[in-house]
Amino acid sequence: MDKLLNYLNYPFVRYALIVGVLIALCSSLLGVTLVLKRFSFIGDGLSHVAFGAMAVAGVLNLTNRMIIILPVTVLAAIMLLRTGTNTKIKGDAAIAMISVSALAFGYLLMNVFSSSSNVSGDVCTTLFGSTSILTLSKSDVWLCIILSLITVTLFILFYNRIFAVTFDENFSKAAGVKADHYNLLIAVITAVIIVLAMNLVGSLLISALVIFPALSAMRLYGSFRSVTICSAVLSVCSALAGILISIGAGTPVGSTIVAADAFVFLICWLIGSFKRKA
Amino acid sequence: MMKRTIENAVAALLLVSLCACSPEQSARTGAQSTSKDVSDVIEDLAEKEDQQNSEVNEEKTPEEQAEPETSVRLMEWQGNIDIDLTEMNSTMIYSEVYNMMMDPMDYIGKTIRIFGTYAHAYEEQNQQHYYACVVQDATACCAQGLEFVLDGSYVWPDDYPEEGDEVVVTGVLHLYSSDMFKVLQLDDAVIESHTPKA
Repeated sequence: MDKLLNYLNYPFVRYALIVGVLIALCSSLLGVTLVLKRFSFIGDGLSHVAFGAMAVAGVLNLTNRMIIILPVTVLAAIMLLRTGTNTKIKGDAAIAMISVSALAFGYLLMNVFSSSSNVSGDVCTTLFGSTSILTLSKSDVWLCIILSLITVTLFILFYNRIFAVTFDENFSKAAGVKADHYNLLIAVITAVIIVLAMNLVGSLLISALVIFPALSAMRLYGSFRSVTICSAVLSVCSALAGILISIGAGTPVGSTIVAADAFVFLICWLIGSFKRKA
Repeated sequence: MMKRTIENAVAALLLVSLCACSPEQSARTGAQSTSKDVSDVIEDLAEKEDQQNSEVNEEKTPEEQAEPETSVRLMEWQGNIDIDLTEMNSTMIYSEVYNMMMDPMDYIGKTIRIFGTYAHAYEEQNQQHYYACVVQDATACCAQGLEFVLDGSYVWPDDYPEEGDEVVVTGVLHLYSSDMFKVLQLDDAVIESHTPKA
């Protein structure tokens, strides 16, 4: 305990906790919508696209890789999400197609035009996020805070519209809601959150941040509002616990957070089962 | 019902076919296997390796055999330590060293104690030796190195560790320019602890 309190004196630990909590909060809010729209694996797909964009940025030796990563990921999210349900290639197939292509091309570019002496280490860190969250600069933290605040504000402002589009897109359109615009909004916000979340848990584990809190909350509550609030609380608690355990025990941060999420899901599932039986 | 029975029977046959024949059965059929067991193969390989090792040892020159083993000079740091990385786990050590590299001005002039693997490099162009303490992250896929220069009382190579040994090094962090790069280095460092590699 003393050691943990001592670690909190380090600025990079405080940055990790702030950013971790914000990212967990934003991804959980979006997670409920994405799970209900059957786009659970969008996190995986977009993170792989971001990985591919990062590889291109690395090849071009850009100092600020966000210049390429964010727009490319937003574009991919728009392609996947904005088209809604009436598409020739359905959600899961489209995600899989774009995801594996981006991952393969990204890794190919990193190996053919390697600009680093440790390609496998860079790839491993990006994929699993072992210490990325603990190596953030002040500007990274500020960027994350601003983007997270924008995300939460937009979610609260457009909560009713997002709810309508999530549950019944066709009815929403018939009722006069501009479903395409809200799909676009969800797509852009999702892309932004995914790019930020890569720093926390890495590309391969991002889906856990999106899926687990929503599913855990759904075991306990039935209404959209209750599920959303519960999902946010569970996600933040799991992220906090995961970061603190990983700092204290010396484990990789990303996997520890996901393990905490999985453990919380198990607890919620058990509680939900007992509640239903009662 | 009939279809399920047949499916179960096929599955059972497949399972049985995956089982190895017992020694008694081979004895009963009278068939003798000429192939070696795994344990026999491992024993053969171990014998070959032992033979090779004894040949290598015999090839040592008398001078090499007579040469005494080098011992690393251990010294205790006199003074306060601002950042003790030996008290941290691998995740924190890697992160702290990474942050030193990214924001060196926050750490310049501070006394740092670090535990890691000793690495040595020699640059022929300017006939310079470089010594570093390398730390890895929790997954061991990434590594950071912190260069150090031992204080003037150390003699190369007698007082220095072997490549790959684990060392605890303490020194004052200092920034210097080399060609186009700025390099962080522990100055006037001492080796406080040394563990030869396994």
